[in-house]
Amino acid sequence: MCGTHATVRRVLGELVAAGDDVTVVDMEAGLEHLSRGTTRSTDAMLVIAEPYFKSLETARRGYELAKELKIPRVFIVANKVRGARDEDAIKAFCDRNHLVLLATVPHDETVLEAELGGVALLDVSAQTPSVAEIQRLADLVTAS
Amino acid sequence: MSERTIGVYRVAVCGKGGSGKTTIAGTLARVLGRRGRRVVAIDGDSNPNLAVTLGLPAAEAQRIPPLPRNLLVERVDASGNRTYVLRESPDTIIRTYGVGAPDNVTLVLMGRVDHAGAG
Repeated sequence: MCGTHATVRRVLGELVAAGDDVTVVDMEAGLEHLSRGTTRSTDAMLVIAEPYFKSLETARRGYELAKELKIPRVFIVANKVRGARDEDAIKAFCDRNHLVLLATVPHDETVLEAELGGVALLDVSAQTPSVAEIQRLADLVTAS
Repeated sequence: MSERTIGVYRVAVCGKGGSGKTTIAGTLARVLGRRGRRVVAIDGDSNPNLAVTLGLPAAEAQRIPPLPRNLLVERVDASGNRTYVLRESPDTIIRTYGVGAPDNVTLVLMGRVDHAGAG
């Protein structure tokens, strides 16, 4: 890893808001940048997994890496889930690998609409299945 | 970091490119903000997209400056161990470089990958 970039990444691990704030970090894509430096103050890690084998395998590695980095709470969040077959496959994978599945965000055309328009999902609609599940996720993740 | 009070909470979202991690991170931040929490959203991706996902206009999103690189100071102790400490408090950094987004969310941009001078 190049030195300057590595140094700058360390800021990420130190940056936590004070007071009653919640800090939400959108991490670098992929696993290469997960390190003690970039995750130092992290209380919970959500590892996003899509319902296909390669994605689940990548998520499993990310989950185990996060555990090794001593992040206190690590969860899988399934995304783009279409129907019971996807859901069952994800549940089976998580059970088999002892991964905690926290939420299952359904496939949702509204997300595609937001991405296409370059706008926030909530500004397209707050009454949509994916938002409902992310609201539930917000309850779970901030419950201590 | 032991001085953090109860209620302060840092959640990180990771995943492959295209997994929807940014949509989930951004929507989670806004949902928490709508509930009255003060939320700091940090875009740690070197291909940053969180601003638009939070609801900032694309033109505004492109003008957000990344964090400067001199925020960390290296300390070397007597045994030669290196540690890094922030030059300013996290709150000062967030206040100085953060950008307001809808629903009480403040966005901080880590910065794009920049190979000039690195390496």
